[in-house]
Amino acid sequence: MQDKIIKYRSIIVIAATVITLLSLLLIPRLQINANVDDYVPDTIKNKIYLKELDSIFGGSEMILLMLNAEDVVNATTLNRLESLATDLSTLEGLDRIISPFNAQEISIEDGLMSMTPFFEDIPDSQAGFEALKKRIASNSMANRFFSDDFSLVSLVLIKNTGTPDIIIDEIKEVIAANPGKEETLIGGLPFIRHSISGNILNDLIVLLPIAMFLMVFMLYFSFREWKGVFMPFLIVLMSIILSFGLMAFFGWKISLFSILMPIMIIAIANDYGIHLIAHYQELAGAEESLSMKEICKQIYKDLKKPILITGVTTIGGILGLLSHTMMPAAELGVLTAIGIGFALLLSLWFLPAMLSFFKLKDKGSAKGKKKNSVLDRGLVRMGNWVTGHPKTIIASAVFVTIIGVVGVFFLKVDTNVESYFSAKSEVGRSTKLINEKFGGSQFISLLFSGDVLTPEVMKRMEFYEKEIIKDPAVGLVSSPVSLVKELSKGFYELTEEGYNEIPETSEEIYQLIEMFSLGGNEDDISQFLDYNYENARILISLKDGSNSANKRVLKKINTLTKDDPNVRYAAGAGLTEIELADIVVKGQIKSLIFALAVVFIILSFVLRSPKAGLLSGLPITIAIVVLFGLMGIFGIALDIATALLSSIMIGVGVDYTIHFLWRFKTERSRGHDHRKAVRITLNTSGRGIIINALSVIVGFMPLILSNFTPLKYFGALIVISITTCLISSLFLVPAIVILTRPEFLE
Amino acid sequence: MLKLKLVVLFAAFCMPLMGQNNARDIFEKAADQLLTANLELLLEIKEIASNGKFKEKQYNVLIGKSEGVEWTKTVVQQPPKLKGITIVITDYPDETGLIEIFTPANGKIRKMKATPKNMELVNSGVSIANYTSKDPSQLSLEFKGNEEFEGKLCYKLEVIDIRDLENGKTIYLIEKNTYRILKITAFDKDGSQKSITTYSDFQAIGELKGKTHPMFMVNKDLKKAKHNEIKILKINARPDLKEENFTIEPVIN
Repeated sequence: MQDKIIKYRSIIVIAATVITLLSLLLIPRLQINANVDDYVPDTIKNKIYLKELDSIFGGSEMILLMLNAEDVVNATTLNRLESLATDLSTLEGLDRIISPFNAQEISIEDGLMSMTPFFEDIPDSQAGFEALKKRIASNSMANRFFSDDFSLVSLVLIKNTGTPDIIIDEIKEVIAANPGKEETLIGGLPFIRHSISGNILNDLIVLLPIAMFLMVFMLYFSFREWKGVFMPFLIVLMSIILSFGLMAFFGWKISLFSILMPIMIIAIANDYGIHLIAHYQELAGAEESLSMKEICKQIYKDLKKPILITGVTTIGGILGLLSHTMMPAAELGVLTAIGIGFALLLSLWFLPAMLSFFKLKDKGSAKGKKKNSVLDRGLVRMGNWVTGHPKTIIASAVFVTIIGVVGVFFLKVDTNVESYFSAKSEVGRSTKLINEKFGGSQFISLLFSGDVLTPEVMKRMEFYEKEIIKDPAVGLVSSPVSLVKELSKGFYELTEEGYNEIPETSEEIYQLIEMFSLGGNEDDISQFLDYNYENARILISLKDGSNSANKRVLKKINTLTKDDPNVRYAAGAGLTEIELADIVVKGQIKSLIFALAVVFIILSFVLRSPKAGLLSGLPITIAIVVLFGLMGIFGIALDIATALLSSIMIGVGVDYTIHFLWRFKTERSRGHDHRKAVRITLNTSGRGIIINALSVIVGFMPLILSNFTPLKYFGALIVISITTCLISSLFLVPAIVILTRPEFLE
Repeated sequence: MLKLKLVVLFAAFCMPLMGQNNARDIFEKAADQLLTANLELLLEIKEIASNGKFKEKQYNVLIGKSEGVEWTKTVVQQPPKLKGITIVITDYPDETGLIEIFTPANGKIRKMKATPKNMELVNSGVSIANYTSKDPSQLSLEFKGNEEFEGKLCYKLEVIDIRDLENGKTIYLIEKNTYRILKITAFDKDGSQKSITTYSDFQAIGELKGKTHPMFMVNKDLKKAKHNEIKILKINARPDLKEENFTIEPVIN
């Protein structure tokens, strides 16, 4: 095969170039999908319910525009807010604007019912503003737009799920056209999604070059030769282009997960090239008589097997993501596996073919690397210590594993999109303010169907409202009940029975609402009632959007309403996250089992022993337990990004054990005893394993700079995982091998 | 209900239309055909929301005028749960009018001042008071050329109430041959379209020579993306209407 590679080197280079260029041409077709809900299968109940709610009550996505100042009840701020409301109402993508200026003040004065716009006249004195604050506080239709301390005032912008989130940019243009001293903040799920979308691009634009730079730095630092930088770099670049090209070809969209793909390819795919270049330098320095073509043939011949095995196990581990229910995770698995597969082929065929076109480098520089003996000395000491204390190592591993197992029980799952951003970011700040001062930006709808405007149903709704609001995670609860009670104030005197009460008959409820509707207030009604008053809902906003809070509130709702014939279901974006969390956990378990099984089968087959498969899987298993244990102990939640860790770890981490076992077997076949074979293996292959692990750690490190908290954690956790895999491979596996003396290594 | 205001709108425009130019002549001829006071209507309104859902309502409407005072009495006939809701609007020439609302379910009659804003609240839109009391010279009428509408050649007129620029202009399409108003487009003060109303199925009002009325109207609310289809099931001249016909007779359901 090596002869054919050199013989057909031009064809190989041209073919690889053509494939890359064709992939490059497809990349402009790529689109971004930042909607986390879309990552969830369409079949899950909550998603179906949300669609139905949208069709019943119209657009239900809320964007909150807030003005923040020391005191917002003043003429300048209120005029600016009104101007913003007017200008925003011209945006075609918004279904409606609900503002304090829609609020009505209903009262009876001198026998005449007064139904006046709440902000008909804006006062011009401080005393007037203080009086206005009191009026606001006592009017349920107006006070929901103001924070209790009057430092915030808001507009609620309603959009349909069909309207693209790009509407946020148009909203920002309107804000820019209405400048003022108050700070403007935007909140709500569409804004979070839009920010995710923008940050995905930012992450790709920023992190990819950083990862590339670190890779170039690592390569030059390791090889001190531009060929050593150029070849692995080119292979990584071509693999990334192919993966993105295929993403476009398959019609898949860039998701939050997609940021990981190029980073993973950079971290993993350069390893094969590194081994080949390292071996090329070794041969170029040692064998003066070999020509460049002969060296290229030799490196292929010597390294094809271990590279192929590590490549296949890595691909197998990453394909574990295929078993994930979330499509973007499965797509990530497929595309990364293809990218790594392409890198494997390029490393084995394209690299020797390309390299053969270059001239041999000076011997002196090839040997330069040998001067670095700090690592070598450390490896010798490590080899001596490992072979001298195998039982201590195993006891320590057992101890650490037990701690890990205990920590796993504290592991939480949280898929709340609000936690994607740091508290200091724009999204983090606005979310915090909404949660603290406006009762939260995530909503649960409790749907009632049938004859919903009867006093009996209304009274039950009122009871549920009172019970649900008691939960500390619940910010606000609103329903048609508060609207009807407010309307009653226009028909009954303050002292009269019926004032601020649910009417006694269904007809009266209908008539109050219909009169309000005739007044052009359909928007206020349509939040709670559908057009024909056949469906109603209680809207529950959550100031704590975590999965545990959502679960608790849902449980309470279900307990309260289980015997209510009019209650159909509770649904909300937050509840999708609960189902998402279940999917994450199930996906995690499935992909873990799949990846471990793949590794076990491949290594059992290659080393012709099931014990080999078990031994190879042991360091990774311990690393996974330690990782999840640490996450549990330090309160880092399993989310949609960190859930991918174990599959990636298996794919990447198993390489070290393979390299160790492969070399150990060779040394045993040379007649060395177990302890000596371990020492030699650690002194030789140990060096490559450490450099390999370092390159992976360096490759993933840029994720720490990501705009997304889950990816920051991912970056940090992968460093811990790979380090654990490395320690297991270089300490635990040798200790086990020394103590158990497995036959498959003889 | 919403369309009632358009009937009323015609009436309001009739008054100041003594032609001083072409536009005024055209407008006068068009408005002159309509019966705008002392009449009884039975309307069926289909209110269609942007998502296609609809409500059907039926109203009985009396419009009367005597000694400068105008009354409109609207009684909901359908659906059953709303039957009997009555809104009476009284407009005086020299003082603020009165809106009375009767809700039979609780037997309450509530009164409101007929300020323009309150008129909007009861969805009478362009109020009677605004237009009937208008000085003819306050209406700006401008001929804007000809335009074809549904195969019919029409005069295009721009009508502006120069005393109420908040409401913006309206564009009328009036059929050349018959002087029937076929379409009214309303704009807001910023010049963007608010609503489009089309009129069809003109029928003569039996007992009154020369008077016709559109029996079918479609009003599209462009801001709220919904529209109403209004069918006039019955229209009668009621020269006998008096003030007492516009009182509320409380009947609790």
